Amino acid sequence: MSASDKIEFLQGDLTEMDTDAIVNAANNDLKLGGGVAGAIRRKGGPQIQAECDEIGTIPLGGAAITSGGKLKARHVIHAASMELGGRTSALTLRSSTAHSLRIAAQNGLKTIAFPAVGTGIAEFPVRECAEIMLRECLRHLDGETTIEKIYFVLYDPRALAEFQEVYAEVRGKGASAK
Amino acid sequence: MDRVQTIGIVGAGAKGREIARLALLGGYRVILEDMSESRLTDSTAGISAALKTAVGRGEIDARRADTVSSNLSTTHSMDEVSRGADLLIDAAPEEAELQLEIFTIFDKFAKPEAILASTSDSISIADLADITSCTERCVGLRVPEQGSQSKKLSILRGPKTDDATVQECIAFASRMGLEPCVVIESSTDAAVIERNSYRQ
Repeated sequence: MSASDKIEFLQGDLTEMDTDAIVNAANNDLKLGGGVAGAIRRKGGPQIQAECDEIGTIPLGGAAITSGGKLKARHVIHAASMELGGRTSALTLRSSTAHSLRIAAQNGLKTIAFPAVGTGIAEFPVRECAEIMLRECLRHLDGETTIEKIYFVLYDPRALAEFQEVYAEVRGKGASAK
Repeated sequence: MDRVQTIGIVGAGAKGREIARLALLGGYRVILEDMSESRLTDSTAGISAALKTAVGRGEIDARRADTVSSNLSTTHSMDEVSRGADLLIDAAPEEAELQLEIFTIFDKFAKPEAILASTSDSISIADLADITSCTERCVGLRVPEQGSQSKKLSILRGPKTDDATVQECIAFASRMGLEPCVVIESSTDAAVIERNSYRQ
């Protein structure tokens, strides 16, 4: 199976994914506020925030792993693409995506589901988000990893279409293309 | 009482601007936050025009209008508005997830004694307070729209809002020339967030 076959796109609710991990669009204080984080907090219960509080603040552009609480997913990987009250940048999105994948692999995880990190309240453009995240995924899958499947779960059908479109482009060019 | 001297308002739309105008006339310092430069510019211009009208009508004198204007500052930074205010008011567009995010930011940056107020009907005070470490200082405020005949400021009290917070809000209403009206938020009439809906 080639790297590009390991990426799949779905429209739906990320918090319903029965994967080894789902990725939270997090701030680097790991405070679960609104958006994806709020949905994870509501469905996963207070344990996830409690584990985040144990970890505390992480570097911007980094990632951290907790259990999945009451979620179907076994873990939540918190991709810190923004500071609380700040904005997601291309740099922090790229770095936090790469860190999330690395943490998943370090923990031997096989399946992971991402949202379109930063495109909600943080208002990062969907197309640029897709380009950055998909390139990082392809780059990661090109190396040695335990990850067998990466899902992108988009709530919005337009975002789903945009991700699929961008994927067709970047897959053609290869992960290292700028 | 009157510990509150600076009002921080998030969102410079019609609601935020009207709260800013009333608070300035009440003698408060106001920090108005919005991501959009044009909304901040429009709000500042709108408030200046309203003050000029008030001077023209003889409702306030020109010197007071100058003082009042100088008490308004604007910012694009959530961090700055949150750190600087004694009473923080979320007047951002109605969207439960946005309100949750704003209260999370308030909770991190606000002064230790600051009151956190929501003007939104999209989510209950109970749900907003729950994500903060200061449930007793979370409250709802319903300000009359600009031009409305109503002079009532409804103070929505959540299950854990304490008396001191309600008293500060009553004092806030009085200084703005509004009639305070304390309402207990019940679980039946509180706006309840759609549990499965979220934005990414």
